[in-house]
Amino acid sequence: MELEAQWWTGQLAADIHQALRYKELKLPSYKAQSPQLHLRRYFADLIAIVSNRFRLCPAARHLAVYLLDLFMDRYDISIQQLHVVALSCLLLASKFEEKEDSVPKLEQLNSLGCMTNMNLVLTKQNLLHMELLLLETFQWNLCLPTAAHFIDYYLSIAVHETDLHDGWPMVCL
Amino acid sequence: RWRPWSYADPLQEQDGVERFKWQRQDIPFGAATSYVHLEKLCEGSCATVYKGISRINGQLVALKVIRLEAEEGVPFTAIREASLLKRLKHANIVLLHDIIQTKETLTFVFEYMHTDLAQYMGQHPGGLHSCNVMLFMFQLLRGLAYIHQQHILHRDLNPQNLLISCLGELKLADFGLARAKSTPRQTYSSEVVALWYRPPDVLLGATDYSSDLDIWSAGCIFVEMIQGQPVFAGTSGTHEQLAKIWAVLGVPTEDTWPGLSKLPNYNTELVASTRPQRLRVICDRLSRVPEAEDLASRMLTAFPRGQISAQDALLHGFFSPLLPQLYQVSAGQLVLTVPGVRLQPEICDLFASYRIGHLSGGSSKFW
Repeated sequence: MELEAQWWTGQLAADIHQALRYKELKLPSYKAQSPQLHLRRYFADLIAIVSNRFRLCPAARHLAVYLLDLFMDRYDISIQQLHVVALSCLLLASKFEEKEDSVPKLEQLNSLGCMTNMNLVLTKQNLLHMELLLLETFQWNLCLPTAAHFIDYYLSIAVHETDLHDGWPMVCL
Repeated sequence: RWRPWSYADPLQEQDGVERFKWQRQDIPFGAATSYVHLEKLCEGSCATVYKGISRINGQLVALKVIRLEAEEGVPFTAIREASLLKRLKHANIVLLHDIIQTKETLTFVFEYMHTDLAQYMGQHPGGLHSCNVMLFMFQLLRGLAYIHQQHILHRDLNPQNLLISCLGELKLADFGLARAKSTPRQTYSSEVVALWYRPPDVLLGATDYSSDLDIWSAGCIFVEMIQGQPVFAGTSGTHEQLAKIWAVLGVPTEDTWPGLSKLPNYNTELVASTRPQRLRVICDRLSRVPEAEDLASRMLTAFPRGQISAQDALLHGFFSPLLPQLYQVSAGQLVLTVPGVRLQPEICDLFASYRIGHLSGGSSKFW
C-alpha cells in the first residue's frame, strides 16, 4: 500500500474529514435482512483473501465488503451466484479506489489457488452483467466512505510518531 | 423501472409545464429506443459520441457510446465519470441525463452542447474578445469552485473538455479522469492533463495532487483565450514542457519550493539559474486587459501551495467589470440568465464575410 500522499497530514485534512463525515451520514440504510446472512462471513473472508493477494488498499477492500452487504440486503441470491457477486464487488471497488494498474485482471484472478480449488471461474460476461446490476442497484454512486477511509486520519491523531514500529502502530489494520 | 438519476433537474422545475407537454408516458428512460441517433460527432479509443434526439422530451442530446467488448467489465473511467457526475448538479457542469445498458455497449446521455472551447478558439484565432474571456473564465471558475467544494478534482482540464453553447454557456465535461479528493492515496500514472496544461509539480512526478492542479490548467486556458496561443506549448515531452515553464517562472530552488529535490523527476541539470519574468513578456496581449496578468500569475504559480483558489479567483479585480448580480446566481442557474450578460461577437466574425473557421482541422467535437 502506498503512503506517499498522506491526506490526513495535509492542510485539507480537517476539511476532507468533514466531507467524508457528511457523505457517511447519507449512506444507504443497511438492515441485515439478507436470507443468506449466515454466508456473509465466508464471502467477506473471500474478498479479504483475494484483495490481499492483489495487494489492494484497505479502502477498496472495505468498500467491496460494504457493496456486498448492501447488495445481499436487497436480493435473495444462490450460493453459486454469491461468488460472482462477491468477486464483482471487489473488482468494482478496486476500479473506483485503486490506481488503474492495480485493478486485478480476470486471468490472474481466475488462476488464484482459492479460485481453482473451488472450480470457480469469473467470465467477462458474468463480470460485466454483475457489475452493471451492482451499479444500477447503487445508482452508480460508489462514493461510500467506510471505516478504512477514516482510519489513517484518526490514527494520525491518536498515535504518536514514537509509538510506531516500522512505520506502523503495534496494532494495525 | 425507477431510475432516480434520469429525472429532470429539480432546479429547472419552472419548465415543468413545458416538459409535461413533451413527456410521452410510454417512452421510458434507460432504453436505447428512447433516443434517435443523428450524426457521429467524434470517435475516441473506447467511446464514440453521437448527436441524438430524445423521444422522451424532444431535446437534443449527446450520446457517448462506450464499447465494452474489449474491456473486463465496466471501464473504470465510466464508473468514475458516472459516479461523480451523478452527484454534481451545477449549471457549469455538463448534465448526465440517463444511462443505457445494452449487451455490448454502455451509453451515457448528456445534454447537448454546440461546441467546445478548443474549437471556438480555432474558429476565432488571434485571441478572444476580452468580455467573452471574462464570461468564459467566470463560468469555468464557478464550475471549478463548485467541484472543489465537493472535494472533487477534474484533473484533465483542457479546452476540449470545456463545452460551449451558442449562447456562451460554458460547462465542464469529461470527468473520466476525475476523482474524489477524499481518497487521494491512489494516484495513477502521471498521464493526467494534456501536457500543455500540466502543472510543474505533476511534470516533476508529484502524486499528491490537490485543487492546485486544476487551477494551473485553468490559468493556462485563461492566457490561451487572451493570447490566442497556448502559453506553454511544448512539443517533445516532459523535459521541454518544464523548460518552457521555468523560462517564465524562473527555475525554482529548494528555498523557493521546499521538497522540490525529492520529487521523482527532479533533475539537477535544471539548476541553471533563470530569473522570473512577467507573463506579458511571452503573452503581450495580457497587458492590454486590465488585471489579466495579475490573475494569470496568481494561477500560474510553481510552488503548489501558493496558488489562488477558484473561489478567490472569482473575486479577483479582473472580473470587476462584470455585473454584481453574477455573484448572486444560484448553483443551478446559468450566469447568462442575468439580463445584459451575453456573448459578444468576436472580432473575426465582425470582419469576415467568409468563414475563417475550420482552421483547426480534424474531426469536430460538438457536444
